[in-house]
Amino acid sequence: MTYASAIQALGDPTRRRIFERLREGPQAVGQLARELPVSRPAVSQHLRVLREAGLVTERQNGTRRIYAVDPTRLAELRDYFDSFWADALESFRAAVEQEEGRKP
Amino acid sequence: MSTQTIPAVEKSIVVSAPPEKAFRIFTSGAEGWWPLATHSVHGARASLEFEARTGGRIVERSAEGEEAVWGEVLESDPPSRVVFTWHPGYEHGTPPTEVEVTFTREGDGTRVVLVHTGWEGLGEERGPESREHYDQGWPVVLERYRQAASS
Repeated sequence: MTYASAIQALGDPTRRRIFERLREGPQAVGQLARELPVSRPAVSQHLRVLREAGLVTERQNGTRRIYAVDPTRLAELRDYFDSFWADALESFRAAVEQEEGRKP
Repeated sequence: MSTQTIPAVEKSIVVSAPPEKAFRIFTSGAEGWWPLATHSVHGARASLEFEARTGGRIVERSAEGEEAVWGEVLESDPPSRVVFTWHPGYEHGTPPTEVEVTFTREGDGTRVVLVHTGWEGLGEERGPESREHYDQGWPVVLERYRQAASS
């Protein structure tokens, strides 16, 4: 998963709503479209973006497509940002301590 | 009530310096400590400028002068607080996320708390305004950050 695509995918408010709905449990496209003020093709398009970003999975159940959140990917995204800032702040702290250490 | 799609990232450290110094080093002194070799677009040879004033920009420049704007300063309140948008590599049109850093005296030092939010609601309130702040001139992906940070 590329994290930029995940952020971009979640940057759209309608996609976020779809994603949040899926966090409650897997859903078929038709069900999602009924609940949202967007057309079914629009919902399908949003789901495709979410799937390509690695945030949701798709499986076939008879004639229906069922979408579900991929919890691993979300955890990875969260962990990535956690380490990113942990590393940056450690570097900041080292720089402050070093500067303080040089004081007479 | 909006749910946090991705929960806020919160980090807290204590540094052995007074808040004024901690604030200064974090903001205008960012180039002196930000790990550019692993956390940047252009790598170790890039420069970083943190314009520590409201409306200022956080800009990385390659050795060739290519600019990569990481974010804009929304609030600068030295030595206590700085808030900036965060959008390195975000595609034009994607709402930025937001980082708030506070500096509070703790004993002889300063407690620095960084909170990274905005995953869910920022775009809806500030959508058009946020888009004006974008200045994406290059195809950056955060995957580079991930790979660099994981190495």
